[in-house]
Amino acid sequence: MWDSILAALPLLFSPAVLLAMAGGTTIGVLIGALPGLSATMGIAVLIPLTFTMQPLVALGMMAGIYNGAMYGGAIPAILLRIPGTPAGIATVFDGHPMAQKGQGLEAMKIALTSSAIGGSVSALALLFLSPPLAAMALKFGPVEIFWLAIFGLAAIAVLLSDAPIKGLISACIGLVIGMVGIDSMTGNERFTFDVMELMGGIDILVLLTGLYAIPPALTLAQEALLLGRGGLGSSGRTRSGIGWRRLLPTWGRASIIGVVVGIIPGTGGNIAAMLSWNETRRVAKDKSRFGKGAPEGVAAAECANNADNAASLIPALTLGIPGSSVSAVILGGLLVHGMLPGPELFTRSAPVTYGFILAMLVTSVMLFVIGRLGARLFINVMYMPPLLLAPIIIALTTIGVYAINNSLFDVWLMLAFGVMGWGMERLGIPLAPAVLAVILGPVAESSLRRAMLIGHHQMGYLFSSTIAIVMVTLIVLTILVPLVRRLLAHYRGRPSKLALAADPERARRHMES
Amino acid sequence: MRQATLETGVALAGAVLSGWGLWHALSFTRDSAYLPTAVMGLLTLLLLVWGIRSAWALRQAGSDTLRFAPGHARRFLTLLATSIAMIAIAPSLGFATTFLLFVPLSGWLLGYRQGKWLVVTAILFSLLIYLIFQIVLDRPLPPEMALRLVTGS
Repeated sequence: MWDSILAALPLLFSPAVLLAMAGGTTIGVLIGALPGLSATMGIAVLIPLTFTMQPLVALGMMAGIYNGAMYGGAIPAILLRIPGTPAGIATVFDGHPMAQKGQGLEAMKIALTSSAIGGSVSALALLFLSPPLAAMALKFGPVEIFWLAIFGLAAIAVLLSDAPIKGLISACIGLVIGMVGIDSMTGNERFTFDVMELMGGIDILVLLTGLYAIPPALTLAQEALLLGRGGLGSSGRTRSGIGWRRLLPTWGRASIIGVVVGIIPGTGGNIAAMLSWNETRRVAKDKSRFGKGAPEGVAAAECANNADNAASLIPALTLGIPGSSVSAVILGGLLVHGMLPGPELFTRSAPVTYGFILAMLVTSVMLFVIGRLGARLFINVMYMPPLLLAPIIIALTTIGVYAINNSLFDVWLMLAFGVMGWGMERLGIPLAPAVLAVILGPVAESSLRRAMLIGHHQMGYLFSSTIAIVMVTLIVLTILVPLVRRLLAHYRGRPSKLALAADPERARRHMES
Repeated sequence: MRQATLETGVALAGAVLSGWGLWHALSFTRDSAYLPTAVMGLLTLLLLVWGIRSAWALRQAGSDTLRFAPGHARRFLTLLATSIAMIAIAPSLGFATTFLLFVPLSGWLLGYRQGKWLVVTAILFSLLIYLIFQIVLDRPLPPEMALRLVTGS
């Protein structure tokens, strides 16, 4: 591992990669600061642009966007009480009251420092936990890979949505999209309808850009969120006199929560932040300060949502199972640059892989510097007119997708996926299971076919190893989670912390009540 | 309109489409048909269950009502229409030239009225796109009409 890290360092600190990381971090903060836009959308828009870049330049930029956007979401959360990203909801609880007390800039400093610390811890977790996990994945045969892919799909489909049926519908749609094209094992066409452009299947980038970049643009134009400058009046310079040292235990706790939550598929920064904020309040001597401008509340939320970042890539890089929509998009980015997730990533592509992991660490440090230097600029970005921004996003995605294969068909397909994604969002159908299914579907299908060939078409072969049985047990437990959650909520008469964390709007209403 | 009405309609229409997909998947050769048939079958079933649940919710009084704020639908359709037009004409005019028209026109039609910013943003954005894609990335894109007009070639 150390050899690979040493080999990655010269690549990482080359001028092009450093510039890409700094640019990506800045763009990430700008995207996060704009309510309605997220890290997923930012990376989805920019992946086509990175198509011709060197892999580490492209991945360094993605790392920067990811870390930057997670912090950027805190800016409108603190100053305007509007979380820039879903993960910023817990930051609102104490960040905005601090701004109302005239401590807005101080809250932003706490958020920035906490984000940088959380991001760094998360990157270190990715660096040290991934190689052993990848080595373990070497023991996986077709049976285990099949069940692993099914587990990843079940976890995302069931845990990500309040209504598991909608999550499963989304996963099925993704599986169908993933099957379009010529079947690689038999050479037969599936769902191509004699359209030449569909023979090679649907490019994952076209799908990612369509589903994650077009709906936010349509929503921006539709809702035309016009933010008044009045809300900024409370960003003042009143000092609360908080000691940074007092935040150390909060950062420690939040980092652990963020990393653990990040590794679990189907969770995300919003859940990490909510759990961390709740835990910090639970252990505090004076609980009444929380929700009224406690600096520890801001630190807990921001540190945890950034600690989730790199950790959520652990299952994606090692097992090829993206645990969240952002990691699915980053996985798409890796695939575009010819890097196949799994153990090979840590052997054949070791310098670039370790370079990317270190880029997650370096961009966390860069975030601190860029966030301090550009605070005023980032505040002003919140007021960019959405009616102008929306056409720009559409234009950028159009040329980006066209440039991949010089295909206008891809652009039309992207627009169609965009409208479909917008509709799915309106109907409460999560997008992530569809994307994950496109990635995992072919993996599951080819593994199943190989397993059946090896096992002479005996179904029992699918349950022949301990790992397979553990996986099947996990799948059953995952599917039962919503039922248990509903029963518990019914028994308690109130929603669980996890349910609140998964639904930011509900959490805000619950907090206010 | 109530949310449950919309969901019932979408779910049932989806079930019909998915059912047709299932019928289509049955025509694939044996080894290629297993997964498509299973997935389309499951999807049809899930959509039917969703449709029935939504229809059931329609009977209850508590179903959410869909509210459309004035202008929401108009702005959505405007951006969609201008985007379709933009994609259709981009290969003939060139992308940067099309964006030079698309960005200010869409912004104006959507309701942004600061003309100076519309023009400045469109010019800067188109220049940036041309620089990145044609000069830096050297992508083979359609020739730019604006460039031909300016240079006369």
